[in-house]
Amino acid sequence: MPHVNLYHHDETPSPLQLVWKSFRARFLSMAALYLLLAMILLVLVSPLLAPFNTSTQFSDAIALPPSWVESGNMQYLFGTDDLGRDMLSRLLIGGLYSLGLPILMVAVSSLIGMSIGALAGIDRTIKYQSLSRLFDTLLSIPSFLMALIIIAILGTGFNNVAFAITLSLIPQFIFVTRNAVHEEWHKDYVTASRLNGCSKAYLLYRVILPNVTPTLVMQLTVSLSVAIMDIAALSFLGLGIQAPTPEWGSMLARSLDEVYLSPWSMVLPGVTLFVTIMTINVVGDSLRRALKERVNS
Amino acid sequence: MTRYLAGRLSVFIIAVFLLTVFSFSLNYFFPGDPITNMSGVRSFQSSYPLIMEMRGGKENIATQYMHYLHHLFTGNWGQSLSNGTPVFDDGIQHFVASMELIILALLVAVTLGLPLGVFAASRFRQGSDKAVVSLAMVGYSVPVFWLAQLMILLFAIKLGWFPITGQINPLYGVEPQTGSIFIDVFLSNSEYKAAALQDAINHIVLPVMILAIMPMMLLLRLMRNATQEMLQKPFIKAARARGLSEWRVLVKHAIPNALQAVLQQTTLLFSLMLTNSIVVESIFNWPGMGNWLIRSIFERDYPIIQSAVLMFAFVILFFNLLVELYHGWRFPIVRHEQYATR
Amino acid sequence: MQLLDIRNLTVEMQTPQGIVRVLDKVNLQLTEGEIHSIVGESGSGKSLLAKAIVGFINPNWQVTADRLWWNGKDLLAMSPQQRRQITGRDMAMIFQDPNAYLDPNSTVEQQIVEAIPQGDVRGTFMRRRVDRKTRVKRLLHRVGIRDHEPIMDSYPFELSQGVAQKVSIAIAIAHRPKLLIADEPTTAMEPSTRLQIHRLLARLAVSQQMSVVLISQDVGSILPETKRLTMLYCGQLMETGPAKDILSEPAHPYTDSMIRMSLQTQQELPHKARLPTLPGAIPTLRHMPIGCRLGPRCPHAQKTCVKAPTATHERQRVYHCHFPLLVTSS
Ligand SMILES: Nc1ncnc2c1ncn2[C@@H]1O[C@H](COP(=O)(O)OP(=O)(O)OP(=O)(O)O)[C@@H](O)[C@H]1O
Ligand code: SF4
Ligand SMILES: [Mg+2]
Repeated sequence: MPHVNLYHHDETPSPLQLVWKSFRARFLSMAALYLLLAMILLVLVSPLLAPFNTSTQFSDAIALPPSWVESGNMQYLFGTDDLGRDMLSRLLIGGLYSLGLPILMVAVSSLIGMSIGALAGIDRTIKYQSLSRLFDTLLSIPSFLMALIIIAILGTGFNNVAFAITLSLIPQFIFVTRNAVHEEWHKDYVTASRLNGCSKAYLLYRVILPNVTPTLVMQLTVSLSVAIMDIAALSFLGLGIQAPTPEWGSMLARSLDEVYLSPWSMVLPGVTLFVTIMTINVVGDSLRRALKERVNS
Repeated sequence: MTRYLAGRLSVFIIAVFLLTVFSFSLNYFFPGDPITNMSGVRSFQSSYPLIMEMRGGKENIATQYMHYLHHLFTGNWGQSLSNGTPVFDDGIQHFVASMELIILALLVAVTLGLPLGVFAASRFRQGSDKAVVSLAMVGYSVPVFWLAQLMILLFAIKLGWFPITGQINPLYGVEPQTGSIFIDVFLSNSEYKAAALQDAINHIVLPVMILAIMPMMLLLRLMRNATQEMLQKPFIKAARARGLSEWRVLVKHAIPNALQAVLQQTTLLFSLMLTNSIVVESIFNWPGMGNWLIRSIFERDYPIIQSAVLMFAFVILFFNLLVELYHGWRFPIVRHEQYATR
Repeated sequence: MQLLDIRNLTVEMQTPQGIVRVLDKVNLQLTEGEIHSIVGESGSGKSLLAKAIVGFINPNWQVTADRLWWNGKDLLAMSPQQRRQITGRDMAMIFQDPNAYLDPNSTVEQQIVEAIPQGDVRGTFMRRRVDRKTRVKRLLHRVGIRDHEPIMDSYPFELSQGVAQKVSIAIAIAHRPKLLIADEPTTAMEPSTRLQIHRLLARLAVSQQMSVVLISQDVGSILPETKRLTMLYCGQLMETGPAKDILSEPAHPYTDSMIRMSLQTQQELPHKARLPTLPGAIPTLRHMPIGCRLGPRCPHAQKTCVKAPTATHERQRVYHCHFPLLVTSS
């Protein structure tokens, strides 16, 4: 029997689909998303792409300008720095530390933070409420300061820095998840499902999660840009990833002295860092916008 | 209001108390002898037994904490491990120097960011709105240390307009007394006060500008979104339908209500400000708390590290307290929402 | 002359499923000082009609009309500024949920003061201040708030719904409008407050020579002073005319069922009695029936009803129905 569509049936998209739909409709949002994905991909394969070892110093090519400048050399596409190290390789591998590592750190801290936040969001008694106000107050202490304290205790070094920033990101996730879940939990439709006898776990996963997902993804982008900024700033100050490792922030740290000699050594890492953060911020902002459009429509 | 005030103050006091507990415990987390970490006196120094006695080093942890509190509140914050100067006196100077920078930058950020945000909202999705918002996005995404480098390159090196390190040229012989460079210039007995003042202003312009940009862009975006959201509200539309002028609707109704929403997010602003001030002070060698903290971390000067951390955290809590009190006082609905529902 | 004269007002809006006609050729005439009730079930477009009159409508929606005249002036031909000026001066509207229409961060006094026309207060700075305050007090008294002191300094969220509605009436009448549109002003209120507000509106109409358009969901709750009555269903005009005639002798099946419904609910219903409602439910926006939109639910519907009925003029009354209940006398 042929399938006949007798009744006109309108699809009612889920909240998530709605957000995605209005996100997709905007060119800038999609461009930023694709750019971000491309950058992540590039970082993942960077060890294969990098033409040279990042610490090899070519004594015959010290402070060589990028290839598009007259005196440049095609062999060193983005030029070399004052020690004769290839900029392109350093930028590519630097992405591992400046973008790859923050993604990893955000993944770990979000897992921890969101689980705690979700649990904290669903049970709130009066006592808990006053506690949470206190918690909010303490949360106002910036994550960068917390990372600094942890580094002061543990000392610098790759592992310590990664640990410090991961730890300092967790509270924000707890905060945002808890507020989002809590707000959702007290909406009437959830109260109704609760009165219908749905279990807490069911409510959390099937009822609340779809509604708070966009907010959480937005927080992911915020935390990612904070993590990138923090690790770059720490390295810039000399407290983060240490010198021979090509991190974008630490590459910038030594560039001011030589800016007359090789301006590209300041421009290239800076632009890379800026574009990365900008892309993430645009994705986050577009998401916020899409979310608001859903609520308004 | 009394209830709101009491609630806020008690939370503030408990938070400060927790902060002292935390900074006390830092002495145990830091490597080395806790008493040395607190006082800056090493165990081989002759005054160590006395300090040990005064800080209750042999007694239980609670007593030690009480001793610590006592020292903290009497301004006895120990001495620097690296050069032996009293931490409290240094701390006050650095604190004032930082505050000068931060408050000036906040003023710039607020006076430019809020009006621009309102302007963008009133031109919602038109060309000028898009331009302002894109600018804000760019400004908000530039890493502050790179921005500082670019500005130094442009204004200090290429144009030669501004000097790039410290608060003032040491040739003027202005002794740091309060930490605030402007007050110091007035207090000094230099013959060239006017010139010294001019020099101090030249020194402060660049760091203030750099420090102001990110918070300004943040405020701009928050204000623009909040105002735009308010302009959609029924009561705004009703006010318009009543024939009020667009200007009056904006000034009397949209802006106050948008401010109420923006003030709820100022914690973000302050923490951005302080984070950036640490970086900017280091770059410009500004004798403020951030610079002090970073240097002490390099030198493992634990008495200074914990004092700087304590001061930073206190400043944040205090700023937030002020904003919350203003918020509750100016917008009664805030108090209502907190105590009347749920 | 007619104060307000609307002919074939049509409002169409864009939805993801296409263009939907939410108001379909609605007519409305209003003379000075009369109370006009608009009645219809939820979603029949009553609020939309009111908002279209005061120009309170989403600019993306298409508003067309053969005539939308106010005092002989064509509102649709005006520039938005001009229109806002006229509606701001001559009309006022109050809503079902007064709190959403009051600024949460200004006091009652500030908001009423703002609504008093600038030209009303004269004199020196101090005199004006005192004058404004007395005017605010007088307005509050006029809307039945005796105890003005605490109310003046309150913020909207501190008021009960009834008081908030009275305050918004005070704001609405502060500039002595010629037309006050009240969109279900009492739906969420208890009966005594509802009675107070209804009386207040009736009194204002008489004492201020102000026309009042009162929107409500059932015929039972319209004011006794109501001059004319308009029945709307799904954006279509069903019947309009003098309230007394319509209530005693409805011509349209929809009016008839609404009246019987409201009578029945006021009496005691016998056990297991059927409610005299129309069968079926109000169609959703996307699935409007063609022709007479009441069709699927109408007990008298026949084949011809898939064509929209034209207006039948009967004494002062107009109805749109192929098979009216009234046997035409002519
Ligand atoms: N902003 C909007 N977006 C989409 N549809 C709308 C909007 N406003 C009104 N509608 C639709 O227009 C129709 C008429 O709405 P309107 O509010 O005028 O009804 P009403 O008669 O006032 O009903 P009620 O008695 O519930 O107030 C409804 O079907 C509603 O769904
Ligand atoms: S036109 Fe037909 S369907 Fe419509 S009300 Fe009259 S009888 Fe009923
Ligand atoms: Mg309505």
